[in-house]
Amino acid sequence: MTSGRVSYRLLPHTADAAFEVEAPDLPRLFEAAAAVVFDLVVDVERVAPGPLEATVVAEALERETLLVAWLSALLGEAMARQAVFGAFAVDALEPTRVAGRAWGEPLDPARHGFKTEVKAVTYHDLALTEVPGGLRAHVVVDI
Amino acid sequence: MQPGLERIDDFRWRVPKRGRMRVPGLIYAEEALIPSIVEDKAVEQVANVACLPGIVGHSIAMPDIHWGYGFPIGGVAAFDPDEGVVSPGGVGYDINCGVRMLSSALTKEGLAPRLAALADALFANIPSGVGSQRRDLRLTARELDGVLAGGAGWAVGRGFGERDELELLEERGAIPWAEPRAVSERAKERGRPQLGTLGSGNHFVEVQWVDEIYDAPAAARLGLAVGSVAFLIHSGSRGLGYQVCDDFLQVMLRAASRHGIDLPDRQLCCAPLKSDEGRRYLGAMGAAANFAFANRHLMAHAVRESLEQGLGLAPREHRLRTVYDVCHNIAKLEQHQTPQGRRELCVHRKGATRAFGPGHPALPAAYRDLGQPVLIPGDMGRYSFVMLGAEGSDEAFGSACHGAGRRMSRSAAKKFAAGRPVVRELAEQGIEVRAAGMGTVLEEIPEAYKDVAEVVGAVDGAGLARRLARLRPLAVIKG
Repeated sequence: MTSGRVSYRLLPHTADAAFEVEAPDLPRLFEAAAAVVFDLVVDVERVAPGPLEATVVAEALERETLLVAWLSALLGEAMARQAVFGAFAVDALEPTRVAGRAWGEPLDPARHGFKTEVKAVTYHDLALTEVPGGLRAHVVVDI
Repeated sequence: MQPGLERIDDFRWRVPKRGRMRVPGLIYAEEALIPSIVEDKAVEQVANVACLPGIVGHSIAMPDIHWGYGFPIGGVAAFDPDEGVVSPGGVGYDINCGVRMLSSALTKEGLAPRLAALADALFANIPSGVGSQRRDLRLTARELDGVLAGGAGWAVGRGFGERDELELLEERGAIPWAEPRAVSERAKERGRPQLGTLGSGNHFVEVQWVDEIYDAPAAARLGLAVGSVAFLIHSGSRGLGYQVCDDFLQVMLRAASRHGIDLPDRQLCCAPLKSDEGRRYLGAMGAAANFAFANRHLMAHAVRESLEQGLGLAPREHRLRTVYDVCHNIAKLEQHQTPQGRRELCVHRKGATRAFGPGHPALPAAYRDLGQPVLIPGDMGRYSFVMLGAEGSDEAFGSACHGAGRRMSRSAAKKFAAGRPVVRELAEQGIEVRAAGMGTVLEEIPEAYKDVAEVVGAVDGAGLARRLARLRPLAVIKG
């Protein structure tokens, strides 16, 4: 499980936001990228890992687009529930399918330090690359 | 790598055809705008769109072009109905994000003593901010399907506004081929509580005053005169539209693979217009577009309520009237002239406005001889423009620009404005700001945008649309 803030790099993009995040393996990278997406919305450290729990399953043609499908599913789940998530666990990761859980609470913009609305996670400039000690994801979100 | 730009004339630049490009690119801009256009990947995105199957004419970009994802913001592309594709990335997440303008009999001077009260009333009546909801409007599943099928007409049927207003909306406020059944339950779940809400980001409701008129008789026909007060509403399809786009990007990634479409950028994933996936997307996109038409219609009603209940004005005193309503993010089936004669094309506008010239049969009778009103918001500190579509827009499949275009990223704008009392600065210029979150105000500082006058100048110079009026902000409601 990954919870709270993770280290990431925000990259310049005129209309939207792009980030890079690294992790030792693919499941941790999926969890870390989820924490980044929610850290763009609120201060993710201020989100308690409960009382809400969501189970998310996503499928895609390959692992890069699977990352976007996973992040999109989490974001859609949170927005439909008017919630934010602060902790994430990948339970099963196959090349074209991921199953996992997220924990959080109803969105309280003041208490959670609301930053900006993330409309969606895009496939533009999406990349998963190997780096010393693990993997790096490059993701562009629409804000 | 940036594809090179070749100058055609003072307002046109060609992106020469090369590599997998099926047609050249065409960017409308004056030379002064070019440095900001070439500094990121926007021109490359124009070239990428030119690679899609069945594209007709040029891959086009308006002077407010900036780096998006997949299509550039400010992009226009038309596709052949037999050989061409439809791409959710060519419409964007906020399906039918658009602008509605209302004119009034109020004047800047007359409103001045009550401006703050009006700003308060608008902020109270129009839910804004992330995930904003209407607690007074709970839609059943059947009612939501009615919204998705009927658009603004649904809202009129529920007693919001008048039926004759519908004539003054692009597509009369409803895409007729919308298919509510093509919209996922998740999308409906996200949209149901959000009808009639502003959202956040660059969405706004502004109270404006007309400070300059370029054609007084035509402006009078739109209800605009120097010193008069108008309202501009900028919003879209909220979470419902985002989810429809998301759902169909996943469908289109598979479809593109199955139909053997080689994608220069995965965000350009698409399916043939004639395919099942293509038809389903158009149906779902139309439904989301109708949600957006109804959304702006309800907010227009909230403006009326703010004047009547907030300020105690009678309808004969405010004489609030719809000027027009335009879509910025949409794909439409339209008749256009091509080298093969006049035919139906699927025109994608991603951050671009339809701008049909005088005489076009799609225009309301009230404006048919003038050309389509084109509503161009600027930034919250300077001005916005109203233009009229011109004959020259035929070259761009009846399109013009949609706004100023950002010149700073949101994070750069926040850093630039950090510590500045932006709301007070604007108040000192006579602009009342009400916002759900200060972060949005910092991201939306005037300096974050190009000068919309330059963008409008290029559109006018290229003959796509002509300037009609300039309006300055008096009050700004932000998410």
